[in-house]
Amino acid sequence: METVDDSLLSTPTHRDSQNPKFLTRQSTTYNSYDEDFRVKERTYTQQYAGLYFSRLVILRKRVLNAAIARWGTGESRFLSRIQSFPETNARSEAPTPHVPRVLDVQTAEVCFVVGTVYVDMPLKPNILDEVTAEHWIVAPPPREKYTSENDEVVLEDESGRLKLTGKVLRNHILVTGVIAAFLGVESNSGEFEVIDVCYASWDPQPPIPTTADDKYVAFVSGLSVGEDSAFDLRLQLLVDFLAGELGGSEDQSVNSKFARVVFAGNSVAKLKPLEDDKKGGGSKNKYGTESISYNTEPLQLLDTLLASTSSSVDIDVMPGDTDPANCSLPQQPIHFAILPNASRHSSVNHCTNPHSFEADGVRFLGTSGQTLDDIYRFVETDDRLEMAQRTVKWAHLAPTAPDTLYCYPYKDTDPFVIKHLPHVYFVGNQPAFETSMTKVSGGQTRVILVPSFATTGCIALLNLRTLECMPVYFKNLPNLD
Amino acid sequence: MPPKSKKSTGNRGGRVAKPTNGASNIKSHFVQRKINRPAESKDTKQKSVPAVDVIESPSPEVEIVELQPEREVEIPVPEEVQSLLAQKEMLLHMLKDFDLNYQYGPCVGLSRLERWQRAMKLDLEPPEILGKVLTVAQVKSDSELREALWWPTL
Repeated sequence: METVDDSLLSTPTHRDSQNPKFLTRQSTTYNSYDEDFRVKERTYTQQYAGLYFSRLVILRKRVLNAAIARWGTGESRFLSRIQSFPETNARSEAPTPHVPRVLDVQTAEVCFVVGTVYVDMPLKPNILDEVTAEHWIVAPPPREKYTSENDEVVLEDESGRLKLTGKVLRNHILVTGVIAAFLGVESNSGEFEVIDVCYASWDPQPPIPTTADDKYVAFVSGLSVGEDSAFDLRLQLLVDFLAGELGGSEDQSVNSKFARVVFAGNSVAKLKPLEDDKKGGGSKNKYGTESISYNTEPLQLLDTLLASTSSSVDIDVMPGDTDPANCSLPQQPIHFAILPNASRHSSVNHCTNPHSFEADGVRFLGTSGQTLDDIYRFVETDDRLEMAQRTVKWAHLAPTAPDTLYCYPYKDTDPFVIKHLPHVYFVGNQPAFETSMTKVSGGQTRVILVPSFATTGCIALLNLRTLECMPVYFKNLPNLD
Repeated sequence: MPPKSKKSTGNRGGRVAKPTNGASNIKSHFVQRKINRPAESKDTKQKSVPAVDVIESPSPEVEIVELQPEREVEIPVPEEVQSLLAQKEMLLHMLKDFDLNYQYGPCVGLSRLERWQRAMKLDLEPPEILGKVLTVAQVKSDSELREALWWPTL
């Protein structure tokens, strides 16, 4: 470290100016798979039934493969567990059959069914409650979690619904919209007592190409550039760090290995309307309506920051909850005219909200956090990393869409199904940095929860060679906090 | 009517004629009369300027091409489809069965051809003959055959 201090504090020598050292930034091959998330035809005459149907058909095949591999071979691994249910006279000699229709399940017969999970929560805000409520009752404030003791798990497919019970269900986190297979017995009361749960199978994941050099991909999310951000030292430090202008020559040689930066949503805080004292708030349009103009300074500041970052490193800009992009998933890329100076650089890539790309053979998939925040509201646990790992196991990015998460009503496809197991799965705008390796049948995935920079001052760095992930913290001086 | 007073034409100030007796007749107060101006202005218009150095641009060579009116390429309709189209009631019955078959998903919100294409895309093996029938132009123009049951209310 002493050599670094010396090089920064000493005057440049004549030799340095004659033979300047150039550091070249590492770069990666880049393929974007965002075409699946682009909405081309926008018709809203259809309902969401097509989306649920497509999801069920696409995932049912994979879940069935996994279930047959796990239960259907006739091995009586589950004999002992079945005999522990005294109220059922289960026949357990034959291999456990698959019942194609949920309504065809026979009482006291061990079988497995595949369908869509629906969790009926009485505390979930229901539009019918608003309609039937008295006019003078104020709507209750939004709760953090809508789980309660009276939640019921129901399995649904094209034929009908089947209520699921069993202690096993408590070990498995389930939200509305998950496609899974349930092995169990129907009891006399008509409820299906679950013994085991199985999720989708995976095609084998192609291995990461081995490289000699370390290359890094940085994940930043929740910059939340607002009106006060011009005075935020951490933002300036971050931009200089990513552009490689921070530190001595040793630091710079490390920073030159950052091949790409992904801005995972919420780059700008929610725009506030301008308070116009002269005209008394809003100018009147021709038809008497008031037009509200917003304070665009944060956007201009973000534009400058991104332009200076992108002048030296490739960046991907994803829209988030507070960004000027559409509200429903999949969010379309931020229009290039909103960030004019940054968009002039060819290194800036405007991406959709679930963002899927491949860099140097490593497959990435990630969202800006709305999907995980929505799942958080409907499960009992607080472990966000566990929820992110579950979404990989369920093979679905956003199972709660369209039930509680705004989504486009697709007619014949569901783009949120994870078709190929990614090597890296990232979720932005989370409260803290967490990471783990999740293993599924086809391979393993590095799951990264990217923290919100505005609250934590932390970004995530991923090493492409080893798939290790480490946080980097930026802090203000103590008396400036 | 108050007596009208005319000003002499020698005065070129262009003053408006005013009633002299101070009557408060609105109509005459606002009257503006045309002043007879000398014929000087007419002369300026008649001065002709000879046209000098007018460049005559050569007219561009224009090729008049007659575009053929756009016609949909008429794909020959196979025989089996033709025979089905002839028996419209049976065809309608087949299409309604296709709509109500729960294996291919909800029939509401999309046309029959879209639903058939979705079934093909999701590997559900819908009957091929229906696919051929639904792509025929005659069916596309007939809303009873093209759209599913309960259209357009649902």
